[in-house]
Amino acid sequence: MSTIDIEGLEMRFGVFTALKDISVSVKEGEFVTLLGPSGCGKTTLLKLISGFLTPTNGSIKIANKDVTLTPPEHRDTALCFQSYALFPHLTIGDNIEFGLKQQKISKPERGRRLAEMAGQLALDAQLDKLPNQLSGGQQQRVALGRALIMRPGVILFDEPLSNLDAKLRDSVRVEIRRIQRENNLTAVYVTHDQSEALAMSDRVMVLNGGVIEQCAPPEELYNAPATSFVADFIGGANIMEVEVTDETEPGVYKLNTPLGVLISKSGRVPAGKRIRACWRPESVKLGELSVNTFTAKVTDRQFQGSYTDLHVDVNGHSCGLKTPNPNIFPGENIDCGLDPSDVILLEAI
Amino acid sequence: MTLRKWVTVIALLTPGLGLIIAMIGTVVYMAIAQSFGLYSLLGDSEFSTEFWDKMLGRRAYYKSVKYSLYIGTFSAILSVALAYPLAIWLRKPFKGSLAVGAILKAPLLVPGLVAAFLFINVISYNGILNQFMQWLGLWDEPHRLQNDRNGFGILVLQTWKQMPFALLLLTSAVQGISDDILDAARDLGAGTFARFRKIIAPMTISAMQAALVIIFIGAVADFSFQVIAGPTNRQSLAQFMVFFKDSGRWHDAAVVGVTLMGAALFGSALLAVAARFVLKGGRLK
Repeated sequence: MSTIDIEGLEMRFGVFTALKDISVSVKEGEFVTLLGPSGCGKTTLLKLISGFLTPTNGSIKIANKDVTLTPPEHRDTALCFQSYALFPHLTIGDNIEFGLKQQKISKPERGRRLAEMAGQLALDAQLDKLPNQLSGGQQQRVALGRALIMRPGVILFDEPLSNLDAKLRDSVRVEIRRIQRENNLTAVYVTHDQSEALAMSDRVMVLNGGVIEQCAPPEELYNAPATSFVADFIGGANIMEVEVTDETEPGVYKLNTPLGVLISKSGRVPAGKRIRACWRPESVKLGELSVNTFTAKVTDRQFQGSYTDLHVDVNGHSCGLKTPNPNIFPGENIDCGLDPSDVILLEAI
Repeated sequence: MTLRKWVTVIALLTPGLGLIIAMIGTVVYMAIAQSFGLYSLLGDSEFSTEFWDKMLGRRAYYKSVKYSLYIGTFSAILSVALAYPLAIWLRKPFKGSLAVGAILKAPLLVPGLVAAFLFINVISYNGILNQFMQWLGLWDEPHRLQNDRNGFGILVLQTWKQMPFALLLLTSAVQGISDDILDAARDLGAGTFARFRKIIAPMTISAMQAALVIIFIGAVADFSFQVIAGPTNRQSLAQFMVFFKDSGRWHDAAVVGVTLMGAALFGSALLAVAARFVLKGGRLK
C-alpha cells in the first residue's frame, strides 16, 4: 500500500518559513497535483517527500512507514526532474537501467524490464543513443522510463512538461496519466499550470505562501473554491466584498454586493457578516433570468473563437463575462443574471 | 577539400602552429641526433649507436627510468585522488569557501626548490616533525626521515605542489555538473561512492586526464625536489642527465633526455587511456 501521510509538516530556511503545518494524505494509486504560484512551497514539499530536504517539524509516512529522516536513495520514490536530469555520458539504455544496477538486479531481469519499458514508451530504437541525440519529448520519456522501471511505490514529478512545446505537452500529459493508471502508481505532480493540474489530477492541492489553501478534486476546486485565492488562481473569477443581510430560507442568503442585492445558494454557510463572494465569468446568463439580475455596460470585447470575453461596468464595479454570443460590442448595455447556486461564498474579511 | 583549400589552411596555420612545431621539432631532433653522436659540442660528429648501446647496458639507467616512472605515476594519481574530494567539497560556495580555495592553491606560488628546503627542515633529524612525534610519545628518539630510500618524501612534496593544479582543473569540471544530475543519481539509489564512480568521475574525465598527464610529465622530469629531498641511492632521469652533462658527456645526456621525453609521452598517454578505460567500465569511447 503506497500511501503518503504527511502530518504537521513545517520547513524553515533560516528565518524564512517555506511550509507551514502541512497535513495531507494521498491514497494508493491517486494522482495529486501541487499547484501554486512561484515560491509557494510546492517544490519544497516535493523535495521533502523525495527526501532531498529534511523537515524542520512534522512527519512523512510512505506506505505507513515513517521516512521523515530516510535519505532519498533509501525511499520507495522516484522523481522525474523538470530538467530531465539524464546522465549525458550514458546511453539511453544505461540511463534507464541505472537504478536497477544500483539495486543489483540480475542482468537478465534488467534486460527484460528494459525491453518492456522501451516498448511501452516507444524508445526501442533509441537505446544506444546518447541523451543529446534525442528530442525534448523523447528525453522526457526517458526520464519517465528511468523512474518507472524502478517500480516505485510513489512517483514524483517536478514540472516535467515545462520544457516542452504546447502540442507535445498535451500528448505527454496523456501518456503520463495513462502510465500512472496502468501501473496504479501513487503520484505527486508539481506544476504552476492550472489547466495541466485540472486536466490530469484526481485531486489538486493549491498552495499559497507555504500553506494549503484547498485540496480537492478539480471539479470541486473550480465550482466551489474555498478562498478568494483559489477562485482567482483557478480560472477567472469575479470576486467582490459583500455583506450577508439575511437568510431567507435554510441555505439561501441575501447579499448586499457592488452589483446590487444578490441571492446565494451555494451550499455554504457564510463565514461572517462581511465576507467575500465570487462568480465565474461564464456563469452569467444574458437576459434569461429573473433573479440576481443587473445591467452592465460593455467597456471592452475580446473575441476568442468559441466564446467572447466581455469587460463590463456595473455601478462603477468592473467585471469579466464570457458569452457564446459574439455580437455584443463596447458601449452596449446588457441585462445579466446569475443563478443563486453560482454565487459562491468565500472567506470572511 | 581541394588542394587550393589545403594550401590556404596550411598557410593560415603556419604563423602559429608552424612556429610551435618548428621549435619543438628542432629540440626533439637535436636531442635524438645528439643521442646518436651527431652535433657534438666537444669532439667529432658522426652517426653512432654506441651511446645507446652503452646506456642500455647500465643498471643505473634502468633504475633511473623505473624510479622516474614511479614518481611520475604515483604523484599524478595521489594529486588527483586528493584533489577530487576537495573539488567536490568546494563545488558549491559556502561561507569561507573562497578562502579555503585560495589556501589550497597557495603551493602553486611556492617555487619547488624553496618547498623542498622547507620540507627538509620540517622532517630533518632535529626538525618539527620528529620533535612533535617525540612530544606525543609515539617515538622514543628522532628518526632519519630525509632522503628516504623509497622516495616517499618526494611523493609528499610532489603531491603538495601538484595537487592544487589538479584541484584547479577538477573544481571547474565538477562545478559543471548540475545538482539535478547528482540528485537524480541519488534518487535512483546511488550512494556517495557510486555517485562519484558512475557520475562525477566519468563526467569530469577530460579534466582528470589533463591533470594526470600534466602532473605526470612534471613529476617524471623532476630535478629540484630530487636533488634536495630525494633518495641518495637512486637518481631521477633528470638528475642522471645533469650528471652526464656535468661530466661533459653530452651524447649520454642526450640519450637520457630522449628517454625522458619518451617516458613522458608514453607514460602520460598510458595514464590517460587507463583512466578512461577504468572509468568508462572497460570502454574507451
